[in-house]
This record gives sequence, C-alpha cells and structure tokens, in this order.
Amino acid sequence: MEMDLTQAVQQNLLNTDRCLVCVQVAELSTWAKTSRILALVHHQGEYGLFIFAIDKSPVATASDLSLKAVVGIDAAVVCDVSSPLGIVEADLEFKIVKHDCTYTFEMSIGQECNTFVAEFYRVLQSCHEQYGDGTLDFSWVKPYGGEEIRGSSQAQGNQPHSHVSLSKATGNSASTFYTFEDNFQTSVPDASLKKSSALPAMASGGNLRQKLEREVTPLLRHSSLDMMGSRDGIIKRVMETREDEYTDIQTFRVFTGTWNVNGQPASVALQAWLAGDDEPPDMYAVGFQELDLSKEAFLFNDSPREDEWLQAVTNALHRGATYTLVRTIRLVGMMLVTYVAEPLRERVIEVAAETVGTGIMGKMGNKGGVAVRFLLHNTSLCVVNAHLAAHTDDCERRNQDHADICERLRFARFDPPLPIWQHDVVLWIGDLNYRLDQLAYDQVMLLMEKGAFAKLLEYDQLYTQKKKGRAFKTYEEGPITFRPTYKFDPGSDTYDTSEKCRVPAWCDRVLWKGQHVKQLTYRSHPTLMISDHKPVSALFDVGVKVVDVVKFKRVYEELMKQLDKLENEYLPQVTLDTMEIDFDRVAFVEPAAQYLIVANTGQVPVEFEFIRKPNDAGYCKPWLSISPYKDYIMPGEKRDVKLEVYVKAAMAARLNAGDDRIDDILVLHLHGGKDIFVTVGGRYVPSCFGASLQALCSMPTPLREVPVAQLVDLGSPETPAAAAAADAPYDIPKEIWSMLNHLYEFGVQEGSLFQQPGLPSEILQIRDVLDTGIADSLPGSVHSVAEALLMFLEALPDPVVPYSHYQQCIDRSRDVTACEQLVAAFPPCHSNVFRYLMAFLRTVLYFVDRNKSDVMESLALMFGSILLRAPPGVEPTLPPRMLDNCKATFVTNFITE
Amino acid sequence: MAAGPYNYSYIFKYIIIGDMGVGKSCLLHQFTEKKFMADCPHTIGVEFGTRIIEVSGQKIKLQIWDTAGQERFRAVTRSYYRGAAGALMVYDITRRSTYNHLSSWLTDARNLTNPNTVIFLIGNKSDLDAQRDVTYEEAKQFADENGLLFIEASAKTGENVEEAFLETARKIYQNIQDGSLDLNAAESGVQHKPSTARGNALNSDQAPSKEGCSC
Repeated sequence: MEMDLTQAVQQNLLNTDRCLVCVQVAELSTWAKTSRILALVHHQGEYGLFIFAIDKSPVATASDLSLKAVVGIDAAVVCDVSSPLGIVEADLEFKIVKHDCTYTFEMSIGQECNTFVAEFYRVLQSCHEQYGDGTLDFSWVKPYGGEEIRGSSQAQGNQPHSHVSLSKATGNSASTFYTFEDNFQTSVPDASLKKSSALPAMASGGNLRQKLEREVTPLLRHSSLDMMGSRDGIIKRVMETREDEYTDIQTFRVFTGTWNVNGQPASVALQAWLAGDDEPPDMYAVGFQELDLSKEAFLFNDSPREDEWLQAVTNALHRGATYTLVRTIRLVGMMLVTYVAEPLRERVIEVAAETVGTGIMGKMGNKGGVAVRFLLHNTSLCVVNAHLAAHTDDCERRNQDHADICERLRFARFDPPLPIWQHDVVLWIGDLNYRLDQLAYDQVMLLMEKGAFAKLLEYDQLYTQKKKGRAFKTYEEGPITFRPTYKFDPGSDTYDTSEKCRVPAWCDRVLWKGQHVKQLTYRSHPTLMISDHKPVSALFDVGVKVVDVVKFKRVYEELMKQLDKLENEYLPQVTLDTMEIDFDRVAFVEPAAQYLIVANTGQVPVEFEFIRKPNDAGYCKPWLSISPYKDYIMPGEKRDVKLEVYVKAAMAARLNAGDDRIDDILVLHLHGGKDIFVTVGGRYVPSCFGASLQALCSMPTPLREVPVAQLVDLGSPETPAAAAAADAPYDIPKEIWSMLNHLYEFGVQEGSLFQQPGLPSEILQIRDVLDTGIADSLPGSVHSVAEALLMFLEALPDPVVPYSHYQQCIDRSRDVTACEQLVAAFPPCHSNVFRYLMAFLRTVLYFVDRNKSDVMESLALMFGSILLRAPPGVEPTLPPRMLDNCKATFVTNFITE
Repeated sequence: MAAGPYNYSYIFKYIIIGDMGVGKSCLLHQFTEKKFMADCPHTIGVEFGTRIIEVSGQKIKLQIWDTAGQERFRAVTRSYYRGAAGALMVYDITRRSTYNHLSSWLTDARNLTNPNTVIFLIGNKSDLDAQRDVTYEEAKQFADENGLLFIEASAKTGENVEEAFLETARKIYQNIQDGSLDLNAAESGVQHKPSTARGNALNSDQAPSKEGCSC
C-alpha cells in the first residue's frame, strides 16, 4: 500500500525536525535522471532541503527512502525555476546552487510542484530577511550522518561556509550557467579589486549608504570610547555625504542598444547598429531578447547562441576604441552585454549581475530581466535589460513584470542586497512589449507615413501607463522619432503581413533615470532585418562623479582632523578643586581629613582610580587613606573624595626620624584617559612617641623644646649625639617614668589595669603633656595612660628588647638565667626600661587578688608582643602562636615572684 | 565589516618629556588640534592625546602621553616611559637651563625605554628667535653626538610640529620594516592591527591602566 510521502519523510527525521512539504522529482545529472524526494525540513527557525533517494518504488514505508544530501538554506542558496517556452505540459526545471555545487531537478507541473516551489521561495525569502547574508552552520543537520553525505562521490571539497556537502549533479554546470553566476569576486578583474581597497572613495556603493545610516548614526550620537570601532564606517559615510566637495562631473558617452532577435542566429554584422557614430562611446550596454527559443535554453539555460551573439557584438564595436568586456549576464533569452573603453577599465569596480524571472509562476526565465551594475569612478550605474509580458491586452501584466523586477532584482553580493533604485544612474532597456492602444493597423500606418510620431505616441501604452504612474514612473524617455520597431516580416522592412496583421508598436525602448544624463540620440536601425523587431539604440552623455585626488585628500584630511579632535574631546576629563592637599599640622594618632572634589567635566562617564606608583606598596602612603579610591562619575557630576591622615605607632618612628614625611604624590588615573598627580603634604609634629629610648634618655627637656635637627641626630646610633647619649642624664626616659609613676600612684590598685581601653582624646592630651612638659601630672584616666604607655612602647624605633637581641631572647626564652644575662647585655637604657617595666608589672600583679595566673598570662602576652618585636624584614622562624608563647615566656621569667 | 582602508593598522605610543614650561602640552595640542593653547596650565599629571596619521600608506594611531615637567613629579613620570615607541624630548630655545637639563632627560629616556625607542629632540619656541639662548648648531651637535633626531619647532605657529611627530613615526615604522623593532616584544610601544575597541588598547601594555604605572 502506498504511503503518504510526507509521513514517510517525517519518519526519517528526528523529533525536533518537521517536514513542511515534499515532492517527488527527478534529479538531472549529466548522464541520467534519478528519482528523488525533495523535502523542505524545518528545525527551530532554520530550514534545510533534504534530498532522499527512493530505494523502493512506490514508497511504502519510511525505510524505502534514504537521505542523500542536505542543503542548508541560507543566503548562500540560489534557486531558479524555469520551464520551456510555451510548452504548457512540460516539466519544470528546479535548480539549487549553493557555493559551487549545483543540483538540477525536473518536476512535473501540478499542484504538488506549485506548493513545493511556493513554499521553498517563502522559506528562502524568510531566511534572507532573518539572517541576511550570514551563513548558518546547520549543526542540527549533523545527526543525519554528515559523513555519508560528505562521502558522496562528486562532492566538492572546498565549501568553507557549509558543512553540508552536495553532489555536483549536473557536471560543471555551475560555471556554465550565467543565471546562477554570482561568483562576484572571481569575475571582477583583480586590478579592480585591488583598486577598491586602495582607493576607498571609489568604493562607495549605494547599499553602503543605507547600511551606514542604520549602523553609524547611533554610534555618532554617543560615540565614546567605542568610537574607534566604527571610525572606518563613519569616515566612509561622511565621505559619501560630502562627495560633491571632492568629485567633478566628467561626461562619458554611453551607448545602449536593445534588440529582440526572435531566436535568430547571429548571422548579420551589427556595425550599423552599434558603430554608426563618428565618435566611439566610452561604454556599451547591449541587450537582447529571445536570443534562443530552443527548449535547451529553457531547460538548461544553456545556449550556443550566447557566444555567437556575444562575438557578433564584440566584432561590431566601434573601431575608434578598444573595449573590455565588463560583464555578460543571460537568463534564457535575455542577455545583457556590457563593455567599457580600455582607459576606463581601471575605473570600473564592484561589478555585479543578477537576473529575475517573471514568466510562468512568476519565476520562469522566459520573461523578466537581467541586470549589470558597477561603479564607474564614483557613480553607481545599473543597466537593466528586460523582456516584459507580450500581447496587446496584457498591459497590466507588463506593469506587474516591471514592478516585480524592481522589487525582486537585488544584487545579492551586497549587504543588504542592493536594489535597482539605489543607483545613481539606471538605464533600462529591452523589449518592454508595450503596444499602441485603440488604433487599427491602417490608422497606425497612416499616422506613421505622416511622420506624426507625437500623435501616435499618445496611444502608446508605455506613454499612457507612465503618465498614470503605473509603470516606469520615475524614468525618463526621450522623444521617439523613429517608426515602430515591431512587427516586421522577418528579412524585410515590411510590417506584419501575416493574417494576424499585428498593429505596429514601439516594443523596444530605452529609458533612464539619474542626474547628469543627457540623451543624444534615440534611434531604430531598420537595416537589420533578420528579426521581426528592429534594433533600437540610444546614445547618452552620462555625467560621472570623478574624484579629484587633491580635493579628496583635503576633505578626507579635514574629516580625519575632525574625528581626531572629537576623539580627544571624548576622552574622559575631570576637574579637581585642588591638586595640592595640605594637612598642615599632623600629629601622632591624631586623625585629620581633607576633601578632594572630583568633577566630571568631560562628555563621557569617567571611572577614576588612584593607582600605585612604582616601588610603592599601595596607591598611597600608610599614614593616608582615600575613600573612595575608585569610583564612577557621570558627566556633570561630582564626587567628594575623603583623604584622611592618621599616624599610628608603627609609622611614628620614621616620621620622627625624618625617614618619612607627610608628603606624597597620588596618581589619579582616569580609565581610558589621562593621569592627574595630586600632591599631599603636611608638617609632622615630632613626638616622644616614636622617639628612641636613647634619644629620650639624653634629653633633659621635653621633646618639643629640642631642635628638630638634634632630634634626628639622636635617633640614629652612629652620630656623635647618640654616642653622647651613652652618658645620658637619665636612666630611663622621663616620659616612661612619668607614665609609670602616674599608673603606680593612681592605677596599680585598680585591678583591671591594661584590660580596658583608654579614650583617644585623653591619649592626645597625655601625648601633648609628655611632649611639652607643661603639666606636672598626666591628664585622663589611668586606662588612657596605660594605653598611651603601650602605644609609646609600640612606637619605639628600636623596641625595649632591641632588634639586635631579639632572636636570642626568643631562642632562649625558656632559660631564665640566660634571659637575665641577655637583658643585662642590652644597651643600658633598654635594660633599665625593661627592668623598670617588669618591676611595675610585678606590682600590678601584686594587687590582683583573683585569677592572678590569668591576669599574668594576659599581661605576659601583651607585653611580650610589644617589647619583643622582630626586626623589620626578618622572616619568623616559628609559627605565630609559638612565637607569641616564646615572647610571653620571656616576659613571664621576669614577672613571676 | 573587515578592517577597511580607513582603519589604522598600528598603534605607536609616544611620550613627551622635558623641563617644565618648554611647551610639551602645547606641542601635543598643536599636533592633535592644530591650535595653539595660549594659557596652557602646567600639566600636573600625564595628559593623553591621540591622532591617526599615515606613513607609507599605513594608517597609524599615535597615542601620546604628555608628562608633567616639574622636577617634583619626575619620580612618578618616569613610570610612563615604559613601552614608548617614540620619545619627544623638548627644550625651550629661549631658556638655556632647559637645554642644560637634556642629558638628565636623555638618561631617563635611555634607561627607561627600550633600545629601539626613537628619541626626537625638539627645540621649541622657534618663533621667539630674538630671545634665543641656545643656537641651532649647538643643539644639533648635541643631537648628533647622542644619535637623536632633531628639529626646531614652534607650538605657537605650528612650524615643524607635524614634522617632528611624523618623522618619529616614520623612523619607528622603518624600524619595524627593517626588523630592528620586534613587535612581539612587550615594550616595543607598537601594537599591530588593534582590536577595534579603544578600551582594549588602553588595557594593554601601552598605557597606564591599573598596573600601568608599576614597572
């Protein structure tokens, strides 16, 4: 039992894929016809044409089909349907080309075929709309056995864009069918291509304009950092709009000719038509219709006539110049041949050709149009050769054909495909087939004999349709002063004498549109008699935009300058309220803040960040903090950046000694832009906090009364001042004595000494009293004094246990005797301070009544970590916890009873 | 769209160095904007400018870093030398002190850039010939002795400004052509076929980004 074909195909597909429509066809190859099933398959918005072989006929089950190949449908697919002229019952030829593979199928005309072809075109159209020229990868096709398909005997290897391989069904047909010729790159002379890239201004296609309008305008609006990406496009776009400034109009002579040759062989010389003028034209565009009426031309779009006529034209070109063939294009009987005179060859680029069939089913190539376009200097030129529907009464059909060609003919190599109307100049030639209405044969003959062409023209359908705006609305046509060119008895100059006795008509026409086009002649050539039509020609002077290199360079450079300027203007810009932050007086543990106002005065959002300088550990010195140190600011907005200075114990010694200063250069970096240096300065007020024990012991006066230079000298052991300190007036610094004495008097009996924090404000007061010696006793609570003492010890440049003895003290912390010997070996002021502190701690412990051991342990840990500090840059030899224990043990040796 | 004929295929990093007030920023401004900035404030930091030029048919994007000339910023501005393909060393022909300091600037330039960095000596303010304090011949001799390119220019009139920037680029390009400048070297100061986004260029070695300053 015969199975529904769609169902059989569907069963060969994965669940995700759906067969939309299928049809049985015959695949035409060089040698044979093979039965095939073509199925249009949909997979999540993508389509493929599946080609199945029929293993068993009629198809009864799904297994009777085997998949031969898949053509992924995207912009690379070109398809055409043709049928033999006038043979109603004939089979249709359905041709698919993708890259350099061609499939040709024959299908019987009928409902199935109609549906399939219509659906296929719909899909192709939607793929173009959806994906444009982008090629898809069709990975969904892979599960169908890519290998088997790939392995097909005639498969082509070089298909860069598609993994789907196709058997090349009709031999080397791809190269012989102009219809499908789309291989733009190979048919353009190399020289022109090179030129195209070397001389940018010459390469402005109309489509570019459209594309750039779409892409570039928004970029121009907020061109910021990303502007560079589109700079190329912007330049092209602007250069196009300013074309007038750097191009001059130079006139070139263009010959256009059209002839319906009624399928006749090229047996006559064409000089009378093509080379009748004194001066040689700069360019030829010659169109033929009904070049070949044979079935072969129809089926295979292959015609020996093509070469014949091409040769005939080439032979008849004006002798006054050497011509180069630009491009020929043919669809069944319509052929268009274009030449340029040799000197212009270099100036012709971006050559493309397309065809559109408007015949049976709106696809056939017996009617329709072929077109060639190119850029001549800076002017885009398109020549269309059309053969519109015949018969007097089918005027509407002709209008429709014209509209179809305008709509459907797009030069696919451009993105988006370039339509006819987007050319500076369009020359439209052909057998447009418009007739004379309302007039009988005799009336026409009468008017013609009187030479009343203007009167006659009033009855011309094209004239009236154009006037009504129904066809060729925007085109111009020169006055017709020649007799109608149709229909003659072949071989004669006599109008139709057959029984049909057709009314003569101006079927063959030349129209144009565009600026700077001037028609010089519009003639027919009645001496050429082989056809039932007479050839027509029109000679034009076409003004072409020619680049003036000097002007071009000027405009181009001006534009570059503009863009450079714009780009520099769009760099991030900020203004700071100040570049110098002065903290004035900076003192130990006394915070101070200043604000920096960063205003975005540029045109783009700014990301700023304070960045690290070489050899610096951070983006600012440790005594400074910046908040926020990085942020974003919108144009016109401001950000307050807080800079806070705070000198902690660890930094005090270096500042005291002058090794460090309140002085830094911050680098404020604008991402994608410049850097700004912000200078930070201040005057550090020296303090006993951060001064060395030696220095303090040798100073009889409070620190503030000591000149800074002497202070610095006292800080370093090598100087004479330091040596003098050996016989210092004090055993221990008076500041330590002062604090310990205070604590002894007011705090020892307080059980919680060293266990509560002090108040920062009181600590500052204590600091000032110690530095100035103004008050007799210390201000603040005992806890503040206790904390000040700890800070004091912590800020010592050389700790109480000197760096030089540190490691030994750690190593031998468990050996009480050794520890005592070590302390005895400290420099005198260090060992004095150490012993004094230990004695004090023992007194503190003496007054602790509960949990004595706990308190002792915590005091030992605390003082251990402050008194024993590893020299800077020395890697610890023990884990931190063990190290802390060693330090505590060392202290414990001296505070236990 | 592929990189078209309008696009640039190289990025060269330049630095402009020299004493305070010799007109470094004005030279940059004249070059990028074709204008003289009359009341140009001292640069406190490093200004940034760009322009696309053409050398031997190649479009080249110049990324120019104009550094602060003040001595106190010297330590910081040194970090911007790295990765410069060209260094424009500027003095003021009307102030001899700025000329006398050239050897110090040159030492920095030599130490902190790569051996192929093109160093171009510019004697600025050539419009003030009446107040000239350094003769052309003297500076030319200094340039020759040290293998520097040299020109006298005026940021005010624009005289020779274009030439200085372009000649430097030509020299760099020539170094690329004859293979003496290795584009793959991290500090060549040249980028070939840049990605289109400018952000990328700046995040690369060629410009101080977050770490740019930490060489």
